[in-house]
Amino acid sequence: MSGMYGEIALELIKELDRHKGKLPPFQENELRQALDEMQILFEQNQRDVSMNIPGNPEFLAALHLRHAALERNKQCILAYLYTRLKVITDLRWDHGPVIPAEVRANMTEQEVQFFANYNKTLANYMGSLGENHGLDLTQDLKPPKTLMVEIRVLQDYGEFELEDGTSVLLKKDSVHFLPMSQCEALVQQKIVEVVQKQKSLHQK
Amino acid sequence: MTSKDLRTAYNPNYFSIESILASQTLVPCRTEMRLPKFGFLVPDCNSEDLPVGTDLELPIWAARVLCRPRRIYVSVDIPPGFKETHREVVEEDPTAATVDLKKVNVNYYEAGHMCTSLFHHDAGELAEMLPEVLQQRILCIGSAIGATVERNSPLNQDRMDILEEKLFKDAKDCNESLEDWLQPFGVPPEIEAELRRPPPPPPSPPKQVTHHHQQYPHRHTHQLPPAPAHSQLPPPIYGNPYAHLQQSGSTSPYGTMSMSSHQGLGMPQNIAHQQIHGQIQSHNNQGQYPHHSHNMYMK
Repeated sequence: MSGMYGEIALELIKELDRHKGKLPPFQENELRQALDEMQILFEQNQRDVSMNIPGNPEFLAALHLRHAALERNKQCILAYLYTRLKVITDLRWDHGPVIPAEVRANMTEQEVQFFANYNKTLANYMGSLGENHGLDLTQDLKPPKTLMVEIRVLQDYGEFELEDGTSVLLKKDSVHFLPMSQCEALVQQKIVEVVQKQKSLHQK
Repeated sequence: MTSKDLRTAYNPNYFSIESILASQTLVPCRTEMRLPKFGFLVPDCNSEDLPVGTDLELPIWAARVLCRPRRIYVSVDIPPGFKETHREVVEEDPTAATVDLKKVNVNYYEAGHMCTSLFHHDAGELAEMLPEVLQQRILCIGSAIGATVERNSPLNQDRMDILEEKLFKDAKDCNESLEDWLQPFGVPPEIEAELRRPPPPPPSPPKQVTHHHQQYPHRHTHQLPPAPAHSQLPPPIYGNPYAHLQQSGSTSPYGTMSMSSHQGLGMPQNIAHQQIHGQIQSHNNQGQYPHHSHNMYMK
């Protein structure tokens, strides 16, 4: 073994730091290596403890260092898993109940399962609100200023049917005037964007 | 993004990526005894053991464990960026253009905070310096919201550490929200002027901060006085490595800090406290509240 303990686990953390708020591919190899390192550290400590019952201070140093390294690895691994799960729960609010394919490719089986469970829990909760009507909490995350909103289409989408039965053709770069409540989901999926009003009016 | 959760909370927590990275800051160490099985830590050491007096670098999380008041396997030094020479430069003028916190450490304050838990005689001084520097820089950063930022000023985001960047961004967002909120109401200009921050002073160092108790007469004008020192960061949470030294008569590195910060407010607080206390006592003597209630329950 060369280098300091905990370097591999730190790589996991660095990878997350490089992709802030995003979901990089799950690094199963590094995770396994970090776990293996922990196993080795633990076994070495077990052996040393059983050998040095009187407590030789020189050997205790190695014992302390290994124990700290164990804790360190544990913290890195847990932080890695926790941060990923947080990103995944944020996905639900940003992209709705379906994960984009390119993100799903970076998730493990267990994470997909977690997302499904989270989805179910959230759906159950939202369904229980508002006297049997349910309430979509993911809508109107920012308070709407107007009922109707002007949107610009960012990518070709095709026919989009409104609640009153009429449909609009969402073609790239076309501009529409739609009810806010119905295009919220499209905004979240980055298919359309809200046309911003001129802000410079009141900048003195 | 959901509401503030563990990741974005100000206080570092177990799962905080930034905190983990900050605790990887390397600390120069020197072995104080022969350390068996430590050979792998130094690349050009061929034996399995490390002899006495070997220089090596350990991350903070490891150095903290190997150098403690009662078990000193290695002696630690303060990391270069937080050393006395560098500290003097920063303390001299925290808002000077030459101060580049990001270059020292991306997470300057947190790494520095962790260094204060090292068993080293400079740790106390460092602990005193960090809140002071943060305070002066934040005042300067805060007053520059909305103003154009010069390339070489400390307000350049390239020279801010993570904490300052976050505060800067929050302050900017809040300022924008205020603008948006004021707009539709057509607030009279004199009220608007009151709600708004005063025009940003030139980003010269507010050096008078150390005499903050003299600033209080300005409190009711629109000019915001610098906040008193004791309203800043909470005291370090990593236990005082000098606790055992205090018992043997040495002065605490933290003692002077708490003394000076209360001098400005000491007297008025005492008087107010006595008055309130007196009122309560006299009230108790006159009124028969306890007596009454007692009878009520008896019936």
